[in-house]
Amino acid sequence: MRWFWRKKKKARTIEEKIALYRRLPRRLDIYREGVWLIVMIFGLGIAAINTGHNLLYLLLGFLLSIISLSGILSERMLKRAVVDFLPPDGLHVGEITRIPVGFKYTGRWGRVYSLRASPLLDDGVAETVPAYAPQLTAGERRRFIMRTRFLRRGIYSSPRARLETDFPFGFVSKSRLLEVESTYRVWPRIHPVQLDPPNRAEQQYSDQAGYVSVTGEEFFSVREYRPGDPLKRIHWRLTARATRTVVRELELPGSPRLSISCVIPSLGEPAQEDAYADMAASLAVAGLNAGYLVELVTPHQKVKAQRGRAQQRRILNVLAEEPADGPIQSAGVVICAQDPFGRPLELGFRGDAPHWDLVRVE
Amino acid sequence: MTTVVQPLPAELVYKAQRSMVRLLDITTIGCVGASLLVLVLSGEFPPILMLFNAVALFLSIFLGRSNIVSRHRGIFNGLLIASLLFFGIRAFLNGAYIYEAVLFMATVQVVKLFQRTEPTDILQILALSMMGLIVGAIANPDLIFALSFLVTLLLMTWALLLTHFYRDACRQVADAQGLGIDPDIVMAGLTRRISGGFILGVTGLSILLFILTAAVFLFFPRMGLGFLFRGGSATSVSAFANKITLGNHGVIQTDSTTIARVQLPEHVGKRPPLRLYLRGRTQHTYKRGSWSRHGVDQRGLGSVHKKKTQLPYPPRYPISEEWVRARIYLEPIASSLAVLPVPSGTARISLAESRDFSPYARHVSVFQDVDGDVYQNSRRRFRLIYDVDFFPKSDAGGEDYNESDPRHRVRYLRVPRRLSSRLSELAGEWGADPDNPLQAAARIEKNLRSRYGYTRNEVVAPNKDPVEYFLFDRKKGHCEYFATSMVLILRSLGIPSRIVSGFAGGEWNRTAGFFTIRNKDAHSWVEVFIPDQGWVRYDPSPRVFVPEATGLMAWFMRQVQALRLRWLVWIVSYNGTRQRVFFRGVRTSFGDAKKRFRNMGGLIKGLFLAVFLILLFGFVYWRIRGRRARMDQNRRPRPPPEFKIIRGILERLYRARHLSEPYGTYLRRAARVLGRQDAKIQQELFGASHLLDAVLHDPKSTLNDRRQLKRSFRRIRAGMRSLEATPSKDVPPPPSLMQDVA
Repeated sequence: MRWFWRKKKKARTIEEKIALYRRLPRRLDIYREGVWLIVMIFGLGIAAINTGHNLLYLLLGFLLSIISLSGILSERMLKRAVVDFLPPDGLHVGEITRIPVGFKYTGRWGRVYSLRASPLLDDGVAETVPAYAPQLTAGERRRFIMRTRFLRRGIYSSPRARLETDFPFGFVSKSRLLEVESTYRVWPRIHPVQLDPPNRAEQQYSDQAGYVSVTGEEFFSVREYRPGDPLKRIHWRLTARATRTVVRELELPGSPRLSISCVIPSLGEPAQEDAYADMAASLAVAGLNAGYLVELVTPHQKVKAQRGRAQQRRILNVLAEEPADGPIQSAGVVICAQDPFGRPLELGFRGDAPHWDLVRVE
Repeated sequence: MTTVVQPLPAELVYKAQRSMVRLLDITTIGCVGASLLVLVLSGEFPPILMLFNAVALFLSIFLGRSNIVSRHRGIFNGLLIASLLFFGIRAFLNGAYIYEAVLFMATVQVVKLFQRTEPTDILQILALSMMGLIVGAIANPDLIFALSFLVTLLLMTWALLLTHFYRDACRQVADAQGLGIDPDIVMAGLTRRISGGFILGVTGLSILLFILTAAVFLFFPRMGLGFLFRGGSATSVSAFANKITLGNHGVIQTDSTTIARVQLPEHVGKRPPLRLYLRGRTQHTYKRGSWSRHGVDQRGLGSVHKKKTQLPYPPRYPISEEWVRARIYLEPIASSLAVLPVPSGTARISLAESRDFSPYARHVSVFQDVDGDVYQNSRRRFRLIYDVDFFPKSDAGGEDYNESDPRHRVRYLRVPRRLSSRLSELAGEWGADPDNPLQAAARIEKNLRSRYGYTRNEVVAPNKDPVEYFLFDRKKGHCEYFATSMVLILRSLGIPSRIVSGFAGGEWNRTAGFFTIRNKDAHSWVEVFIPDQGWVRYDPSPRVFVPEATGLMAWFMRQVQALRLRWLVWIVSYNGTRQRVFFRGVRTSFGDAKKRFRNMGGLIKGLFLAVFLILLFGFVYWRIRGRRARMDQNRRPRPPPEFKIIRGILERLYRARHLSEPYGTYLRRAARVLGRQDAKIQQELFGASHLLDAVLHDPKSTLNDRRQLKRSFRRIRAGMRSLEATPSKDVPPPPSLMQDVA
């Protein structure tokens, strides 16, 4: 009799969740009110059958019709709806991120109501408030917001999306899986850390704190105009085409460089492991904001020293997928700064971060 | 440190979507009202309590969701606990647990109406109203239940749907609060749903629910296993009492409770064919103002559940007379003797209609005694339907009077000695001939009708026999006095006679061809044994019978009564037999249609086949086209409805939109090109493009924005009519539609 008492195992991973839908393409989750309705139907059915009272049969028919109609309408809602996720380039651990989800109703007439969509993820990866579409007309395409907070860094790919509805009466929630892929790059947490800009002696290389100097010769890139940029650096042709003023950025013969080395040990505690990545990411972002060329070195990857938003993305992507398998002896975040001529620079930190003990300055 | 108390999601949703929540409240109150109506009109529950509930229901319309209630929630919770204690104690004292539970439930649903804040409160109220309807089905299965059921069906569809929307909104707000997000942002995205199309849709849903309910009702196999009590309304009926007592009632009430309906299927649409007398009980011995019965022989009817069975003591009828068929629908009545009222002159009876109708009816046995009274052996209260054949002009039936049988002399000739001489003197004054029973009975009947008045007001005779007081002093009374007097006078002349109590008259309904017999139609008459004729009926009472009322109101009431009978026949009495008849009817109709089709000519058959094939191919083509269109739709999205206003004219003047070109971008490009002809159109198009982007992509957009967009498009269309076509081959749009950001 052990099989009878064995508790049903809850599906935790994506594969287990997909397997549930393989058996039955639609899943029903009965709410408490639905359970009471079913109990009422059973009770009424027994009373009607026992007594033969026709009006009880009439009421039984009414309740059964509610259930049947509920099933038919909820199926109609699910059948013709498709969704599309638009995750941003990256989102940070612990931050509530608004992810647009496109809903489309492909039917030719009528409307659909009360649809909720969410990506299929492993349990414990994220807290999600599904995107909710209150109403869509035939052929309409609209975007609604899904709010997510990822609990761990990493790159998560969701091969399916779960579309559910409890229309029309809210007794039962019916859901199905859609073949919609979406990928979420979850970057480490960024603590509010600031690095002092390179010292005064090197400020000949920068017009303002944190910005790159223009005394170089080589064309580097264009960027938006900042107050203080020399007018001769304005790229007039691009400015005419774009709706904002852009300036040329020229490469320096050298720039202050910040080198960050991050080794994440295997501790068995995800929060503790992520702390290393968080500190490395926070320092990298602070360095980039301060005007350094930042490079990142990990046991598995190396990101060459560069600056700018793209560099920030590269560093964060690497830190997002850096596995926690480094040796404990060399675990930690090591940071060192050099001027354009290779001389070491002093680093000044400001700001609040919980894990300074993991950081070593060389 | 002060903690900020967040407002409840339900309160926030109520403030943001007031119209939807108010509609929900109205439909919920309507459901509760329908459920209470059935209970109140059943007459089973205390009127004061029902009145209290009705007043509370009315007040809850205004006070529910008000500050008064939210500030004094404790009072309402206290009321609930107090009513639980009150009804609990009552139930414990009188043992009627189910009855008190029903009263408690009716009270709870009304008190909860004041506290209808959360969606779960609404669902609880709806569940209670559903339970009230279930109780009403048992307590009051009359036409009013049909009205309540239909109202509940319509309103509950609305109520459940709106509760679902309400709960969804509350859930969204609660999730937002949990994540620290401003709930106003979430609620701005919850568009209003109450539109004309929505109303039509929900009405359609109610109709669909009704059809499904009817289908389940018709096709669900009927069975009654009989484990639970199947009650009905209990009406105590004096016409079926074991005794008649004169002078005890005060003013006799004219109670309109329906006892039975007697349908004459062959007289639908015609005038009342006869004056109906439904026989109840015969009484034998009169003593000091009361009639009583003796034990009499009886015989059972064996196969009465299968077919019409001849009664053991049938009436005598002229050979030329046609019998009349009647179907009697007897309401559940409380009677110590379970009389089956049958028309005077009944020869055959059948209970086949009741066989599958009630689990108890199958076990009912029918008897007839020597007086001609018919009754059944069950003490339970349930509805019965039975068919009779009767002869209106026959005698009353029963065993013939046998002079040599001392029991007959006791039953049909005994008169109190004290009254005998006075009564025979009176008969002599009226010219009644004891040797001519026919003449005597007619004379006495005529004199009683003409010389005495009818009144329902009884007066207790001071130290006198009630009949003596009636005949010689007061000279007015009701039917029992007249009948008693006639019987005693006849007996004093040595003519065998008996008094019968039952029902007479009734209200004829021409529309459906039936008599409605009510409690107020209770009547007493006389049966006199005439040699060679049998027991002949006489009615000495001067009571006026009005079988068919006239006037517009009467016509309306007849339609209502006819509807009531149909409700009774087709819904309340729907049984396995009728179900089988229904299915057989469907099968027969189908078979007939097949035969008719086979007998048709070749040309017509070909036409039918052609029509059928066209419909079939049309359906298949529509399905295939629909599937292709859905596949196309992923590549070619359908435009938003408002866009259709200017799509045609833009295609004519500018160009068609590319497949994946965002609408806003398309309009802005059109604005730049067409704006060279008219700057105002350019401005309008730019404005409309941003508005369209907002409508399509901004979750904060409202119904107002859509209306503005529609107006803007209409203005643009009107303005563009004067422009010249300027076809363009400007830059193709970006590839992916969903990348377009507002």
